[in-house]
Amino acid sequence: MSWNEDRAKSRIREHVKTVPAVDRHVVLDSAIVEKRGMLSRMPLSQAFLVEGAHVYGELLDFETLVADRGQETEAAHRRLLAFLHMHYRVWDSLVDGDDGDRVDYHGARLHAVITSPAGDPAAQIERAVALARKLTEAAQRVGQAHGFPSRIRLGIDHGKCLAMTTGRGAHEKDTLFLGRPANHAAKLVAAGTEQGIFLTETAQKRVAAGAVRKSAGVMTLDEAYVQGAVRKYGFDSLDRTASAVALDSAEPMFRFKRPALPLSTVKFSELAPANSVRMGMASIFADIDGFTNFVDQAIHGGSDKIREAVKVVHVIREELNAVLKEDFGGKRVRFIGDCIHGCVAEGERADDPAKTVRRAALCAAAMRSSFDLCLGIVGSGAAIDLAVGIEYGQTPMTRLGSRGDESVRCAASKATIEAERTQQAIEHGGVRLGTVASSVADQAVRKHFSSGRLMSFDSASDLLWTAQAPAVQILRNEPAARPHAAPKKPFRG
Amino acid sequence: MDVVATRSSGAFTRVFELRVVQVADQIAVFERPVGGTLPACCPERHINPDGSFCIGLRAGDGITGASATAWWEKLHVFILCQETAAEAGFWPGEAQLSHGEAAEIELAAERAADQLGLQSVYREAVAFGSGPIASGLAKINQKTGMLRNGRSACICGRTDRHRRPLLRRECHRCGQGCPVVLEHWRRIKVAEYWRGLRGQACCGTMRECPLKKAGPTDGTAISRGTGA
Repeated sequence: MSWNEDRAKSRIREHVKTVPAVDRHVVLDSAIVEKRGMLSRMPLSQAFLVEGAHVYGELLDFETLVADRGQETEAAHRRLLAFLHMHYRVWDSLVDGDDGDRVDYHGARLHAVITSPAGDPAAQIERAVALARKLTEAAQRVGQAHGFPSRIRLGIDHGKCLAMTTGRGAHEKDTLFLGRPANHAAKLVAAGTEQGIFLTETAQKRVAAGAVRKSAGVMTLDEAYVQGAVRKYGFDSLDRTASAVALDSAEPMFRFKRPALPLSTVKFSELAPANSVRMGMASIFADIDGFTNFVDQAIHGGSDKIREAVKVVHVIREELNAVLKEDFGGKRVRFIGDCIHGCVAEGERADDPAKTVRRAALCAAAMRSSFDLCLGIVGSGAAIDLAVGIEYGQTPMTRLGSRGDESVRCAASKATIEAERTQQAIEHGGVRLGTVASSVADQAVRKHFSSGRLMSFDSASDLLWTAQAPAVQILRNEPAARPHAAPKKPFRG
Repeated sequence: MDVVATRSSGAFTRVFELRVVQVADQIAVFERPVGGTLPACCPERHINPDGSFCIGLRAGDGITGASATAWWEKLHVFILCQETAAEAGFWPGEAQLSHGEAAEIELAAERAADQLGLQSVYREAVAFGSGPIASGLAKINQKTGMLRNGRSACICGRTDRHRRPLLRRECHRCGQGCPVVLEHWRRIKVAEYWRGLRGQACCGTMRECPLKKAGPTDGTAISRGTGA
């Protein structure tokens, strides 16, 4: 398996045929909001413009649980997954609840979109604040009951986002919200480490008067406003589930086995806590740099621009997924906004860290080549680039939560955290290896992929001297085909 | 002559417009015109100061019907690597020999390393300047060019026919020579080669090029180090 230009071109032409149609009544209307459990029902073939409040939450103690005294043992991973499982059970009640809010989570992060009351930004933010407070209380309650530190930091923004669903089948499908509000709420969370509920500048302007107090440039929510919001919007199912989870002393039993390779053969539908997989993997985070601005401009530019943005993101994401899965035997964990998170692994009987990182590096280069082909075939002049972060480490993969077939795909380890962090540290496009990936990589991979521009697959194949590089094949038969530079005697022709 | 090659993914390289010149039994190949799309001169891209390509050690000498196929193969590799160098600013390490007279020494060192099962260790020393052979260079006496502490076992691990370790002072005189000593000499010849090019402008297309350190560039890439 490897990257082939003709195969990639035909795939991309197929992706173009499946671009979701953009809804003419761009705002997600109340008829759709009333549909319950929308996460699984959002139509695959359509994209919407959704106006609402975005709540982004992060469990701040997740990272401290990833290792036990610096070691990522099976026991540490069991505890980490038990921690996430506990929170996911609570958060599942929002998805299954009757509020019509859209809630999605991955790793230690939660993202909720509040679209009701429709057409009333201040009320949507009020409802978002109520949800944020309820999530904070629920996290504390279940954390105390099960002996986990469970601080949560929440950011709220408001505005229009492009919503679309990609992937097929319950276990491979992802719903995305693209645009400024989702991005800014996430950035607000990432900007600090103290627990609390924070509003972006935009949300502060749209929230009810008196809700926000500022002292010395620091924003705080008025407690009376928060209490009022909580009384107004009950989120009863969240309370009920948090109480039930707190009282439930049964611990999930996590059993790990080494998966058969390639990782693409692992089926999330067959994974459960008692049937989880774990091995040394390279986590790959590939993000479309500049996409939030591109989408934001499209949202303000009218339906043609929105159509173009939907087409670009759909084609690129589907193709990056195809490169990961079909060309490099990798497993997509999920799409996160305009980013794809996947894993690759090498080593039949035992983990082979160097070969794994080499495969991840080639996969990143193939993603670059496919990314360029996508822009060419779609004919978009979008000012976007590809940024890829790679980290290596023992990583468990399973499904968590209480929703049976609908439970959440999860790959959580220091490697997944660092791969994302490494990707986020890239300015504009490029590639970067995490500390561990860099230390286990062979010299050629370290030299050409540690940090810098992300080269095309063909150049990577030559510089990493892969078996499929034509120069390698020629040198096998003609070892003297090695250019140098002559000492003197210029040729007189 | 126009040349296009197929890369790893099945994609084609650019079209390279070339001029092949034969004088007696010597053949040389240039871009048409020199400096059209490739640099007019770039040792790191194996283009000589007169614009001729160096597609292999003495590749253009004594070409006969029997050796012509090998010449084409060498040109093929050269074209493929030019495309990679143009994009990435690096030439594939396995597909090149040291510049100038250092090439002969590199080949000798490779034969010696091969005999000792140290092929990949030697490649690492040349391509990345790391590994046991590269670190062994610190034990070379700069005046004699031989390993110090001649009565110690040689660091290349060579043994005699009774499998006893050979002494450092004996090792280089045996068989193909000591790869550590040869690597030291190779580096001296490489340095001499670059000194001979002092004043030559850097084309700026390669990420690591000693010419960048030596003088002003006409490009934008960043120099990091040595030429192998």
